[in-house]
Amino acid sequence: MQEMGQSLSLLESKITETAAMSPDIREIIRQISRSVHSLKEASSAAGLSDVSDFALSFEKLLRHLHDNSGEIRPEITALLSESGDLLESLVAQPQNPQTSRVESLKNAYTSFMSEVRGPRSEASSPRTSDPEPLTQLSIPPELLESFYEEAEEHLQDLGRSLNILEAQITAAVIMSPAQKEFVRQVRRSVHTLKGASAVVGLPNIPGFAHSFEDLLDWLYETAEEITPEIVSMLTSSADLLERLVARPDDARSAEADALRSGYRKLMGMGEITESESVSESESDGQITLFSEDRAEELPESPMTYPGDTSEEEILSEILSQRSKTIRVSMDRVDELVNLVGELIIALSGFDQRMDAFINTLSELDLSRDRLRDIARDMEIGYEVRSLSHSQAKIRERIPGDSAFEDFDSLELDRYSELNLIIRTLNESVIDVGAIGTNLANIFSEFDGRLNRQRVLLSELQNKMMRVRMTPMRVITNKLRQTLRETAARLGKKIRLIIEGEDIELDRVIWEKITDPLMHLLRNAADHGIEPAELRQALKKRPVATVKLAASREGNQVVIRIMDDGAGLNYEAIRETVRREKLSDRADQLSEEELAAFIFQPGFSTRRNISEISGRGVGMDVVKENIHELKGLIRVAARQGKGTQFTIRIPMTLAAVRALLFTVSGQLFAVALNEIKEIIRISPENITKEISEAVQIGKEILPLYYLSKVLNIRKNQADDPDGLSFPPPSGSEHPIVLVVEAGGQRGALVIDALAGQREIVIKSTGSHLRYVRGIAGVTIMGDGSVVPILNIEELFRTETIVSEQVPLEKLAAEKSLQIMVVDDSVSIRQVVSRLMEDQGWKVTAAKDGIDALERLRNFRPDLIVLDIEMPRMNGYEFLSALRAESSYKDIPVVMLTSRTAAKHRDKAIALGARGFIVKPYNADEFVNLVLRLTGG
Amino acid sequence: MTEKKLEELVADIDRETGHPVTGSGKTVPLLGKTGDYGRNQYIRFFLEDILLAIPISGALEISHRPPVTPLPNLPDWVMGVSNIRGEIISVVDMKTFFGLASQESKGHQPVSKMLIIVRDKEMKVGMIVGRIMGIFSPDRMNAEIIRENPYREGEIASYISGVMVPKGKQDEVLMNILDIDRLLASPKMNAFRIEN
Repeated sequence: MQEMGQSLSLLESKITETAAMSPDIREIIRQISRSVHSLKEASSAAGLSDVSDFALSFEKLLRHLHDNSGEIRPEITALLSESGDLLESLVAQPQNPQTSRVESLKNAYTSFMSEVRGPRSEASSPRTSDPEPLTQLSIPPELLESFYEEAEEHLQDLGRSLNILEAQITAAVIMSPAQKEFVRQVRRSVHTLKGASAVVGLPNIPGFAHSFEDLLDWLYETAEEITPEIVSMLTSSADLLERLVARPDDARSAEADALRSGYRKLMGMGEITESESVSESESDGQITLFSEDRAEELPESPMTYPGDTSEEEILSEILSQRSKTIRVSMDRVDELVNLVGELIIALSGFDQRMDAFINTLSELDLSRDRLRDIARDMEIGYEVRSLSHSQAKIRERIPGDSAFEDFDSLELDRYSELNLIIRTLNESVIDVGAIGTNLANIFSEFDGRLNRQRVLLSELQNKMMRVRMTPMRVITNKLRQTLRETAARLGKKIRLIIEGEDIELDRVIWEKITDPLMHLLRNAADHGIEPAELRQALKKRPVATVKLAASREGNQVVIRIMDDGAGLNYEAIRETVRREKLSDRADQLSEEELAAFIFQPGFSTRRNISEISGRGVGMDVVKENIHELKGLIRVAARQGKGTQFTIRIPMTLAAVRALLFTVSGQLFAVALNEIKEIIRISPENITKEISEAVQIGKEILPLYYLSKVLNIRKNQADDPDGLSFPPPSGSEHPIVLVVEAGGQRGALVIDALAGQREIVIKSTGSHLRYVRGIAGVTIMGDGSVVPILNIEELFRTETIVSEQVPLEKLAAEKSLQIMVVDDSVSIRQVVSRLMEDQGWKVTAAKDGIDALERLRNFRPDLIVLDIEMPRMNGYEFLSALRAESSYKDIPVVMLTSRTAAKHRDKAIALGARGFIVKPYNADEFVNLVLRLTGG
Repeated sequence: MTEKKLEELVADIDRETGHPVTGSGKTVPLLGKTGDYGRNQYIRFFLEDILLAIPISGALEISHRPPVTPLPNLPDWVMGVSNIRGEIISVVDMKTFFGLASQESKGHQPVSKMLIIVRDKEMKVGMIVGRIMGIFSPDRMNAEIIRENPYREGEIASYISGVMVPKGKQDEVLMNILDIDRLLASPKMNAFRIEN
């Protein structure tokens, strides 16, 4: 209110005579309009309909003024201030409607607007005069900007797919699967555009996109033939969509209507169905809602009216602001980041050589010392000897004549020659010493420069990272807005809590994850949260809560979206699965299996399609998007309590400092930040009571042999049946890495350390996109590949329903007897180890006959059974087992690589209680065993 | 029919495609040679005693078996990953994949030596196969493709799209066309896209 007053008085002071509309005046009007708008919102929320009603008219005038008017006169400012006053008094005394004043002002508005509109009404859509309420959603420019970036992409995709279709379809043909796929892609683009534009609050697009999507739905699901006419309709629809995106102000309702009727004709719908008419009127409404142009908020749209220079100025101003940032293709940044990684590796290679250099230098020093010693020894030895020698000679010469003087000089000559050699030797020693010192100086200079490089390089690396990393804050506005608007549209009261806004991720990841997150939020609001009455009936809090929490776990960013709504309706999913015949055993599906269906393409339990959600085009896209980021998404739901989606995104650190070590002869790497301590432990600190543990300091930590955890295959043929797993390398004091995962610490036994270095993380390739326990690989200098372990994941035991049951706890509860029947030694071993790790007793049998024989001696609590085995296969064994009354109650889990329903059905028909497909998830397997044994 | 050396294979491919193969004699890159030349040509190789053929267009390159780094938590038919000129590519033992490796032979027989890298639009996979028998053009050899799969049993059956028989050479071994697209799109191959 105050703001409005200020702006108004500012305006009054400026406008004393008729003046051309200058940008700053326009800006002032915009500010007034904004204040009025928020006043209107607030008053309508408070139920002051008189105020909001008048504010609406006022706002209309202001917007009109802002957008259409080329000049401003003092009368207008008077009108404006009068309106401001009225508004003020209305707010102050809402009980006094002051109808006559309101009416007179409104009339003044209308006459003014028609007057101005007269000469330039062509800029507005034909429906401008429609008496629909005019609402303004304030769209933050950064939102619009990202919308346009996104829209551009989608429109490009759309165009590409349509181009191909256009090229392929020259006559009416039955659609091939590939062509259907194109239609599906088009539909997806349109759907996303629809959703995005609805969220951003752009007019016209959602309504038309919705109709367009209907046509595409029909084309994809019902139609078999595709004709050039249909394709041309698709392309003209795409064109219209593009134009709508470029100029959301221009409804082009005539075109849209023409296309819509074309659609209806195509789809064979003479009359408009119920839902159709709803969406029609809704979109019609929107067309009028925003029929006034909104140039100031749409920097991208080419809104310049000929002759309207101020618009151009604004536009160029915006453009000049934008040019301060540039968009660089991700590939280029990646190249740079990779190069930095390579530089780091190169530098570490230098480090190694520097070590060698300093070693050589000290060797040189040693040799020089040795040389000097020899020289000294020689010098002293010779001098002493020559001295005693000459004395002896002198003594000898005493009786002789003086002619020996010559001899003496000869001897002196020889003496001086040796002396010369010794002196040269001494000089060389000094020279070598000087060279050594020189080298040492050069070395220390190198070292200094190298250090400087290292500092620069790490700074470069940090900067490179920062180029790509942004906190989640950049997208939270958009998310809040999404939820707010969805909630408003649905008439639900929802509170959004966002945690971890500081969590940083690659910018591209945030961009790519925004859509899925928005989708999940919309879904939570639409499907998850119950209507207010229902919540009341269920005695839930009237204001629902949706929580979005981001956190860092190890080298992953985990984003959880929780709502306290109804949870998944498993029966509705089951019903849809049955109706759509998505599974031939719909009735037996577990909740987990049912939950997985929501990620299937085209899956929707909703019969009526809304603009918000329910088309089923959503969750599969969400899943796909997240998988593109190499992330995971899981859903957990409790009926009546809520739904939780957990998204895990690996962090793209290009390079990390890692510890290299060997386990069973293979080299592995672990990021240093995942390791808390590296120590040697003494055997007396290891206990083996329930499971192995080790005491370190005052703590007792569970002890794991990494070779066991990693299931490292024994490729040596010399130990084909070795079930035993001795502590590696027979070391009495094994080296352990103390790690922490999910709040629990553990000790990992490794064989030997192999050093520490900066490594560059690479993915495990396009085929093995996800390998449990592996964060990636790195390539060593010699081209060999070293796996990087994901400690976090190796120990994470998160089941689909997010209950965390530590395996150790389970193990202590019950000791089960398990029989493993499998003809493969390695599978027997691996499964036995898994079972034994739970503290269970395992008996292995190599085929059905063997198993039946062993059954005579003891009765297992559960049998793990392979299908294909020699002598007696799994099916035969199952029937034999079921025939024997004393055995028939033993639960049997089939463990096989056969995924076909046929195999599964056969096994279930024969009485198998569980079915595990290789490669299995250890936790799931253990949980299944526990479930079947009533644990 | 004799096993071809890699060098001979290079020459073969040169001849068949009309392009000289660039690169060293160690690998045979095949990408970009899939135009008209490659359309109707097959690379033949043995897996145990089964003669298989894949369209040359589905193969990226052929090389000797590179050093392979095993990874944990993978089925036994995935041998691990390998560094193929800076790119990490998974290496799959086709014998084990198809369940052709008999129990006794496991770990005792010499492992196959040749690698064929195949790909679809989703992924690249290195297949370890037995002897490579060279390039084969059904047109030129006057062979006919029987679009029927004679195999009813075994893992391999579902990946064979047809069988080729050279005309008039009844004693020749049947050539089974391995459907690379089906292979790479199979659930078994795609088990590593996401969790578990």
